Amino acid sequence: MAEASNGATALLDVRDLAVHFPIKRGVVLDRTIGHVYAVDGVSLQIRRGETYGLVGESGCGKSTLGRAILRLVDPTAGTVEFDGVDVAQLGGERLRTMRRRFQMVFQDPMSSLNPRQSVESMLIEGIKAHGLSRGPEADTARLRELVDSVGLPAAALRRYPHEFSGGQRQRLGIARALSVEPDLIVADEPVSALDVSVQAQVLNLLGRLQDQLGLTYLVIAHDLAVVRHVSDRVGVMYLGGIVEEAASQALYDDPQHPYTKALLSAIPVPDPELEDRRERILLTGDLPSPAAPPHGCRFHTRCPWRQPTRCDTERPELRVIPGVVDSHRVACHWAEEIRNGVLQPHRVEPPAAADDVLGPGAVPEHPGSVTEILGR
Amino acid sequence: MTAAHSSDAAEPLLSVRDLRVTFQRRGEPETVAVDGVSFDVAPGQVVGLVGESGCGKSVTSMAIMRLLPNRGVRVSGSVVMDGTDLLKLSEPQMRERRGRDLSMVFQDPLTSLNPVIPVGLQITEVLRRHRGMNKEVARKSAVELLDRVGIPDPRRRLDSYPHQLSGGMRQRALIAIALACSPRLLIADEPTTALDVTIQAQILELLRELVRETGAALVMITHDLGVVAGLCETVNVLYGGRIVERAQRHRLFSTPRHPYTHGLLRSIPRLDSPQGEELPAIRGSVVDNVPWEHACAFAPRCPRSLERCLEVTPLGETSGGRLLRCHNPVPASAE
Repeated sequence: MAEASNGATALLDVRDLAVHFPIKRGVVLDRTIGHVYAVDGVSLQIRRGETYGLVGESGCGKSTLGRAILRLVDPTAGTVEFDGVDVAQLGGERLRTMRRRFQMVFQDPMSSLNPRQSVESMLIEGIKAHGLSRGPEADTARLRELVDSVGLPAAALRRYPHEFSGGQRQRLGIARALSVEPDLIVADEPVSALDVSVQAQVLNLLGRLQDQLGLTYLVIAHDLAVVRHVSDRVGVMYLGGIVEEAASQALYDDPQHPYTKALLSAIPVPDPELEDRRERILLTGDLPSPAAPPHGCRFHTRCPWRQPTRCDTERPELRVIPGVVDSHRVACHWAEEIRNGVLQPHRVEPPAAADDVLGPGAVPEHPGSVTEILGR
Repeated sequence: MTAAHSSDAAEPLLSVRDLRVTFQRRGEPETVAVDGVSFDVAPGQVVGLVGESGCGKSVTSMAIMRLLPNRGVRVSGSVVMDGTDLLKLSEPQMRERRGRDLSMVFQDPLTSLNPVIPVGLQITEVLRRHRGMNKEVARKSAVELLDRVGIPDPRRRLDSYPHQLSGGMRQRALIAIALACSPRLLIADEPTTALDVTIQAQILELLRELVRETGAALVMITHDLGVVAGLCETVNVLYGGRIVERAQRHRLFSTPRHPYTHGLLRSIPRLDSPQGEELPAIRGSVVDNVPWEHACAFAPRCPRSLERCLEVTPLGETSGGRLLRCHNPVPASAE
């Protein structure tokens, strides 16, 4: 179905997507006292049959972005065009029927499967809900085919989620997503809950299914090695925005953004020779709170290449810089200078007394002992 | 005690022999979590215990620290430190040693810090208990400790509650507590698993620095072979409660001999591996394990298994500084 059309058209076209969650306080009157800027102005295109990887640390908004694309959370602004239709504006029945075409595979296979529902009932539910049922016999054959395609025996249909191992449950999650014949699958941390020896099996399965069914993937993960392995193109997110986007090999061979450089150098590699001689860019401090993102470039508070001008006032746009292929875009004012070595990294002092995420609370002054506090 | 401190490096600081931990639940057969694990830790050495969930790595550390519950758990073997078997100490005697001679850093700092007590107090508590410091002195050294582990503005942070700190900060605070009495052995159980990559790099760098400066020995427990590769001198690979391979890290990673280690290293997507190709995955999962009694637990998943593997338990054989528990190891020249 998907491979029929021309490979260069974008299946998914996200423009300036923003998701802001209000922070409420108060009992009777819910006053909005601020917003968490989870996703703040993200644009990306995913072509048919392509795998787009989204990496970033926890709190960078990658999962929220994935959910907003599927309309599991409502976007605050921006458009999500799926095959020419703006999903962000859809509602009711039209959204429901549209949902057949984009499905999600969740991180934790145990909590995303209903423990009281057998595999058969779970898989048939979506098929029936979307009117894909073709009579009992054809359906049974389809279910067998489904569990077989994810590498489980037909006997699995009669069993319940707790009877499976973690890797098998993730296979079930994939089978459920496939049951309604979607075009796009958003996989949010598909292997991070699995054991190392099982991760490879699930990654291989995702790759095989893509080849067979012409699926388009958006893979969201924090593990850069996993993302690089499965993706054609990779976007790196930091605090609600994409800071760099490139073909996956190019991104790993020649990262341009200071954050990408730091992220890549921070991954432990199972190779002692390499570990001993690699140069690490250690970032200081933590991710700033998305409720009060820094002005200008969001990364400037931790950036070892930060400059006195522009960085803290102007938010950089994703752009192509001279000397790299034009599918490689980076959001940094000084990317050229960093690239040709004019700018060198400097020491970054961790921000003294960064404000608490939750604001100053009612903390007793200098409590003297454990019992003193427990006695309160 | 002081004599042991200045003894030569060849003498192990901690010597675990034939450690076996079984869990017994009513009406169910006994579960063997750790099945005859033996290893040594020399002073100042960094030793890694690697394996997947259920391989017994955490239970091993809990058994060494004597943190397992008494009911339904049987621990046998010996854990010798300074000539005394920790497993034979009474609970009050063990409490004297915990935190002072050996201490532990846990995986999830939010659940291992007390949420209703400020961080500073959780540090001074250790200092006052073990070192008999008074309130002011303890507070002063707590500030130094927090500063030592890289927490900015430590004086203010002393009064913060755990929920007011970020994940990386909490882990730093936990390390500060573990280091409060300058123990000679630190056990870190997945200290970076709950953290982001960039924060993980910070914490690993901190551990590396602390080991270098304080001369404490470190037992690093993790599932991440990457973490081990950059940190540990000797690596023990656990599978199903037994050590299946042990070697010096460069040798282990360049020529893994046990099919499990070999398969694991090949199945991890790496930043420099060819892209888009199928990963050589290990088949099955830990539920396929067979008991060690008359077989090799890994045999059903092993690509090199022989008939013998399902009949005879392989023995751990040491040759040339490498321990290997396998009937049909990967040839040394295979890589």
